[in-house]
Amino acid sequence: MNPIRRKRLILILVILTGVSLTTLLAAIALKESISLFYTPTSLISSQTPITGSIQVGGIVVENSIQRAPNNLKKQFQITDKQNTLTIDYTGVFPDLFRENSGIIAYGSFKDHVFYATKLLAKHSADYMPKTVEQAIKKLHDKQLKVSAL
Amino acid sequence: MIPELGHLCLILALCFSALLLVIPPLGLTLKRQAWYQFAYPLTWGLFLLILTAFLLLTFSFITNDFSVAYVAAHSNTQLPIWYQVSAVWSAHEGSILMWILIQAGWMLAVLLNASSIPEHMLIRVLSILGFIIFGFLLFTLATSNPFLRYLPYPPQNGDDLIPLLQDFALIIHPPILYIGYVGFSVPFAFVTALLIAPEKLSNWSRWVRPWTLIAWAFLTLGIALGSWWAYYELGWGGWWFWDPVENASFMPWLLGVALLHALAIAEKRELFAQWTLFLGISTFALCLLGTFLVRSGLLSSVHTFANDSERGTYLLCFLSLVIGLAFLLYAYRATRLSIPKPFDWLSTEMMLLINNLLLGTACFIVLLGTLFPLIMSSLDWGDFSVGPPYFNTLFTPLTILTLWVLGTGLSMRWQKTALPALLSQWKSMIPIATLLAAIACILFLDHLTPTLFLALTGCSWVVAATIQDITYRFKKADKKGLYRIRLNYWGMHCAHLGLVMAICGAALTTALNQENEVKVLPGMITTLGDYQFRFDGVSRVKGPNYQSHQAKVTIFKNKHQVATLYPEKRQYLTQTDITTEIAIDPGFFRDLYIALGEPLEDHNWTIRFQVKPFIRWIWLGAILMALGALLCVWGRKRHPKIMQTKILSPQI
Repeated sequence: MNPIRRKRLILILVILTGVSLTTLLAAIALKESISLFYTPTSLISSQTPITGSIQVGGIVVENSIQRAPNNLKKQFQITDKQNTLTIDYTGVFPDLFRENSGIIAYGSFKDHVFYATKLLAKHSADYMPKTVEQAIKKLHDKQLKVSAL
Repeated sequence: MIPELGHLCLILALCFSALLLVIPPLGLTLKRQAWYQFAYPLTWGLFLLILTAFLLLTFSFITNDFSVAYVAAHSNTQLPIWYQVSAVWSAHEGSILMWILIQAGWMLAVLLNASSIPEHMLIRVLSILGFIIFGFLLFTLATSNPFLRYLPYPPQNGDDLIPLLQDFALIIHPPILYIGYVGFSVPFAFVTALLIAPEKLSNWSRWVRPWTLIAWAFLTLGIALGSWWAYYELGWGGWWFWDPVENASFMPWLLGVALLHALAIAEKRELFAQWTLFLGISTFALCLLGTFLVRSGLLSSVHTFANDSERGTYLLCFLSLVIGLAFLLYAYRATRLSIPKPFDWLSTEMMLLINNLLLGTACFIVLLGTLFPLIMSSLDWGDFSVGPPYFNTLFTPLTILTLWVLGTGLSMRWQKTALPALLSQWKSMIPIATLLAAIACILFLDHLTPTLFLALTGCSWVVAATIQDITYRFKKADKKGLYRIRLNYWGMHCAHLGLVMAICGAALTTALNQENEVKVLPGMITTLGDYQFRFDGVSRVKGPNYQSHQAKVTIFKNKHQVATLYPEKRQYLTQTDITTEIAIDPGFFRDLYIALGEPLEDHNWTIRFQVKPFIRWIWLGAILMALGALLCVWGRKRHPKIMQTKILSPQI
């Protein structure tokens, strides 16, 4: 083998090892930091125990916000028009957070309460996060089908 | 009448671009000078028509012509005039029009600075750019025409601009980002032109490199501006969110860096031709992918304002067509351009190659993280989101590795570095690096994490290598020679030091950040690090088109008053939403950052105080990087003009 070819071979082998190593690492990192989207209904009716970081989306229930007197701890409820879920959050609400509008919460689910670490609310008043809107629509369609039967 | 004129201009521009795409290449094949030189007036015409259309739309905004649907949706009579102008590119239709205008501007710039480029290449480049602009013009006219009317009963007043966008950075962020984004179409066009008609690789890279550098400099500035905007406008104090839209601009940036360095090798040593061409196509592909991701609204992000699947489908088809054709051409033609040449393991080439691989990997990681949720949801496997931990865990080691490779690369020579020479260089570099790293580590000893330690030592290594390289250059050159060191040499070091500064800033602000969210009463003092924040209460203030609650916070350090800040909660008159206007006391070494939360009973408020050390270094570093790139453009070797008449020998 001439030197240029040999160098090329070594290079290619190094690159291949590097690529497979990164892919492996990327897959591991991905596995640990992805979160699946749930609605209150799918969360409550889930058969398998839910662990790790997840996201849940729904509409904030009117008059459900309760604030602790001395710190920034607060609780509120969200609904997908079938089930409601209590969310526990410590911190300042984002600007667009308000009753009757859609939000997505990131965090973990334990003993029927969702402990949110981050809240995401969307721009205009009539706009709902896309995933929330679709999830609610899907549920609604399913219900129609059931009632038709 | 005015909007119809604008519409007409766009239709004419579409016809011009169609002609540009057909006639000049045909002229080249049939060797008819009049045909292929038709490209020049067509380029001028395109630019002028699109400029006119753009100005007419701006005119509609300034004159509050609410019969135009786009104006009615994004402007208002109470809006200050500069926001009325920037509202032109605040939403989808207008920003696509601006994209087209900038594309035409780039075409004109290439045409006006083409004295050293052979004519057949110039004409092919213009024609390919004509194809891209044709696609976007068709897209505008078919799916997102900004001149559509709201007739017969136009509203009395408009819906106003989204408050988040009523901001200085948002006036200049989109144009600058787009100049960078669209600018990568120029290297793309050159790559395609090279594949169609081969040229000497070193000459070719000399023509492309300045354009790539300029585009990259603007992209850097645009990303930095976006990050700065998110920092002070979104109210969380973060400067990078790994948001899909941020990623969309970051991916071409990463590959752009790789492309710049690959072009440097191609220019000096005529190596890695295929890889360079591949990068040229991929970078622009990622620009188009970014546009698709942002404009189709497929991803939920703070930036997506409108969703329309028709637009997404069109853009996806166009993207596949352009990139598919380019890669097809690449597959057929690229192999015949490569000339294998020997180079040693210890050489600049090898180090640049490793740097390219690291950047490619980084880009792949971002791409995977950004597209993963899309792939999963399109396969109906659930709605996922990929969080910052994914990006951070993978990105941090890569960045540190890149620093070490960069420092080592700077101490190498082209082709082959003799080991003794290298070791003697390192002998003087290692003490400097150790000293710098030791100082940095002692300064931040309280907060030293393994990551911070590795980042600081990596940065010290690069700085040491830079100092070593400059002293070597000075020693080698006699007095006269010093003046002959070209600007691009300084540009290179400027950009590298900018990178070091940005990484230092990012690492330090992450490690040293302090924040506290509290509930406050007027007169209450909160201590954070060395600073005391005194909340002095809230008053009501009225602005031109909003009302607000304005808090007063006085900040002390060691009993001395440092600053008085006024964070606000704003209610714009035309909107139902309330927005946070944070207040910052900026500084070279730290920012004090306050965001007002919500009112509670009895004059209580929630509030967030933050001390963010070295955060400005991130953006200053980006400015240095952009400046470095521009110095490389100004300082490059001038090349003799070539006689344009002789060029058209049969090249194919």
